[in-house]
Amino acid sequence: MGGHHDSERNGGPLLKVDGLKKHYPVRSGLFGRNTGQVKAVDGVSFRLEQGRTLGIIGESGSGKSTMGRLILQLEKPTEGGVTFQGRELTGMTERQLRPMRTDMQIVFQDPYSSLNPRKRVGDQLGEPIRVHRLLEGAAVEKRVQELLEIVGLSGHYRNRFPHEFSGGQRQRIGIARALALNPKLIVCDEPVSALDVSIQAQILNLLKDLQGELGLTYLFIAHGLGAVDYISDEIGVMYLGKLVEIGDSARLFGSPRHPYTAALLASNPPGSPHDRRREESVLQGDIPSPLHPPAGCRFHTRCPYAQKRCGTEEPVLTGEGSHKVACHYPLH
Amino acid sequence: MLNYLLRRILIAIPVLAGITLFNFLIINMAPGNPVEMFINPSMSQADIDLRKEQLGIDDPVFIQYFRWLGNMLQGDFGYSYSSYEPVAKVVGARIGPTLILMGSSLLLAYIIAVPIGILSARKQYSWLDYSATSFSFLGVSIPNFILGLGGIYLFALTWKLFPTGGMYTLGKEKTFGDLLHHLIMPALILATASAGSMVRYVRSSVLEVLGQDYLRTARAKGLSEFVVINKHALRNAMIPIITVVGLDVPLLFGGAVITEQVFGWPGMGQLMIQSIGSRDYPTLMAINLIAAVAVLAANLLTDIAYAAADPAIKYGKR
Amino acid sequence: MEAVLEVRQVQVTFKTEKGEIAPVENVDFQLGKGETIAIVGESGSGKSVTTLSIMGLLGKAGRVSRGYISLHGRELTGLSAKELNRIRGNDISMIFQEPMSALNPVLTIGHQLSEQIRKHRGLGRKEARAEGEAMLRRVGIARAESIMREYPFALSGGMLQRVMIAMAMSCNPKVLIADEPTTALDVTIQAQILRLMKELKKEFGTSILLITHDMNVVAEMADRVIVMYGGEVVEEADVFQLFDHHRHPYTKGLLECIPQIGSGKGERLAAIPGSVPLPQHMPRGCRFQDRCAHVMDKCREQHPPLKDAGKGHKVRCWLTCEGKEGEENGGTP
Repeated sequence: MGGHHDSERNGGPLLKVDGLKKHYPVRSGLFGRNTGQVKAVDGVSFRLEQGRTLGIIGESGSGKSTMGRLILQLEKPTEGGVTFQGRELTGMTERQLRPMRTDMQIVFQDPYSSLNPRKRVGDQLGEPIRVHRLLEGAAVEKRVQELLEIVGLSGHYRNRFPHEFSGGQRQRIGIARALALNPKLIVCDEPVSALDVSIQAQILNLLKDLQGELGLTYLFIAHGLGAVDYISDEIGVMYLGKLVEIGDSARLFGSPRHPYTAALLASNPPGSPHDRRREESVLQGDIPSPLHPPAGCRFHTRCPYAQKRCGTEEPVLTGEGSHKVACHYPLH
Repeated sequence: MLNYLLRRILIAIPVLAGITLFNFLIINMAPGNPVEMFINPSMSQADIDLRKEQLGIDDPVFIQYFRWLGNMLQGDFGYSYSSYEPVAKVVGARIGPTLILMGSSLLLAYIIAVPIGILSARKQYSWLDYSATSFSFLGVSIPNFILGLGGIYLFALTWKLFPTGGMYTLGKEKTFGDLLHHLIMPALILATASAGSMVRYVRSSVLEVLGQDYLRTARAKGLSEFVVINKHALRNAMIPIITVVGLDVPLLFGGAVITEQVFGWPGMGQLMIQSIGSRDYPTLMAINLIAAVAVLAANLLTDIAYAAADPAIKYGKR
Repeated sequence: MEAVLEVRQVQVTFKTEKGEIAPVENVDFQLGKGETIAIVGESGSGKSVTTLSIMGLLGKAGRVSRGYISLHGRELTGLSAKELNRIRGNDISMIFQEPMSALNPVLTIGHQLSEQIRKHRGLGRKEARAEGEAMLRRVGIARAESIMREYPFALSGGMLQRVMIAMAMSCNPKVLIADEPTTALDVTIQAQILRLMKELKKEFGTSILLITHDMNVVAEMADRVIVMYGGEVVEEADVFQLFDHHRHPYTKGLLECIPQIGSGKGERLAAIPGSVPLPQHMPRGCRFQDRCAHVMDKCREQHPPLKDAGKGHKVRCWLTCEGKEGEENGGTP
């Protein structure tokens, strides 16, 4: 779906991420010496073609949201590159980035805290359009009305304040704001996690429809496996700052190769009481602290198949074609 | 925690140096100088210049500052230009009365404001809440000197309940009872402004805590309302209020200057006004230094208290 | 099955500035010993208010204005605060959606755990702490002794929910109310918590009232399911019956709107259009009418009763239930 494949000049992917790292220093002591590093994102690489959706899953603390912000250059990466539409973003100044920013937008988890409670919705939607001088005067008003209608809200709503909307409607406004500048890429950071299930379905449908109509590319970060599977063409699984498996969504969820992917799938509650899970499939313990990640394979402390080698040697992400896995002993 | 304290104290040193320099410059920029304050028509220009040289005020301002700083670091605050006594002695005699006045008014402000704020929050939108709110606004907005003069007129002149001013009755033995009798009016009046804003802080802080999930948990555990409020709610509500205490100290200093003047309280505020009048630079500098140290110390104490009350800070996780 | 908790014809009203509203009306069910009932519905369906009314935690503005709630035959509605405090946390306890905000940030885990044990079991400080520690070990916390001295901020969400469960189970309650206990957690931690709840239920024989909006959690946990909409029960059935032969269009909508892994990728999700009406805007007739694909004239005029379709399957719908009148007109026994 979303089969627009009018790739950029050079025919490369819309987004290319190479060895992306973000290490936060930990300071302590009298003079705030650097005493360690939290490796929130630690060497992630992937490509994302125009018009497609890459879903990113992983527990909280896996670094998936940080990665989203790094790609949008909302935070400076410690290392690695982000190439968007054939141009390298890391190292650009804020002034150079500004024209690029219109093409990359974000939708947040909590639509309420990302909207200004004291400004009318219409003004908030119109503001980026005016700031980036895409349109002027009455044309802005018209565009705002159009944006509200695109996300399934009435154009009259532009005079209302955020508190007058329900959670689902607010998320629609959040999406409208992301669309205001005609972006190519939208990073969706847990866009449905805070919503009721029935509303989640409405928003997922909307995102999918918009992708078809506007040829959008999504990086869809979420922890709800069903939603990610539904919307994604490809899925990447993150664990402690590393991508441990990536591939076509049907293949990855149908026959996962990394034990962590398999554990995530086994944790997902069943769709029917007939499929209640067996006791032994539950993954033990919490995700370890990214300040002191385990040596070797980071998953080995919780992995049911871990062997001696896993505790010492770090596996690299490899595989034929698009399905890659970082595991010494993949499941098949 | 110890590291944090040390770091804070180290930071305070350059801040203090900056404050004293700034004060010194401002005092010297004010028109007039100490010598002009006591010249008489019979003095010749040569006499005046000699006097200036003796006081050292004919030197450039920066040299004067560093001379003062050097002496101060050796514990020598100089001599008062007006009374010719050592500044340490002049100011030292005034610290006690000011501390008594400020301390008791701070205490009074809290004794009044905390219970009213809590009640006001628990009975939100009741007549009690509304009247507490109205009185707190009055307390904040009526200037201290008006309240002071009004108080003197009513309680001292009309009803003769309290003395009009001073710290002890002249010619009588200095007793604690006499002190208390003199203290009540200025302390209460100085407390009104702090109490007024404090009621608002306590109220909003308690209101915020009353809506928290953990109070629902506490009730769901079957704890009595008394335990829920006094153990689970108040400790959380007090954390933001502690910060305000620190902010109150500089305000009280300002208030004390006015109140001491109105009530003839022999404290630093009164001395400060006199010293400004006579351009008594060494005395002024000493008072400013004490005020600055007091404010910084209050901020530091606030941070320590804050950390003690909030475990997330105590263990350096925030 | 022996009824532990009975909720009969309950209506809850709240005083607001614009008059009284009733976010819960016509709620009627009983919870058997060792049984798990899931109450499902969107926000605004009244499921949380129902649990708060059982706990007596409606606050000053709310009250049970009709019907009654009883525990082992003892009526809870109308008990004094003191009597209720002997039941809350002791016979009925509760865990919440956000374990991070449900625990007091300035008190240690040990304090919060043992104060409940001391209150209800009359133990001394030392014994209560020992009991608390044992309870932490029972819920799978290995470093129980050091965790007792920790403050909530130092623990992960999953750990905190374990602490909440330890607290809730510490006085061996007859009923555990779990209000969206895993919604804020990662799937892996959700699986651990759900498994823990099942184990404890088996061990202590506790009955569980599980509030959730996630049909997958229902499928995993429930014996019986109550579907709520607009403040009333619209369907109630055994969990297998409900998943296989549901009769209310709303239940169907809730089941179909969840994207399941590996099924129907290309298709649109069957979202339920619109949202739950506010209590003050509840339509006459069936409350689901504006969002229902099968709405008929009758649905707009008459309010459907909860009818028994046999074998304990009850439905409130004009379209799908032609059975005999159920508990709706049953009055109080």
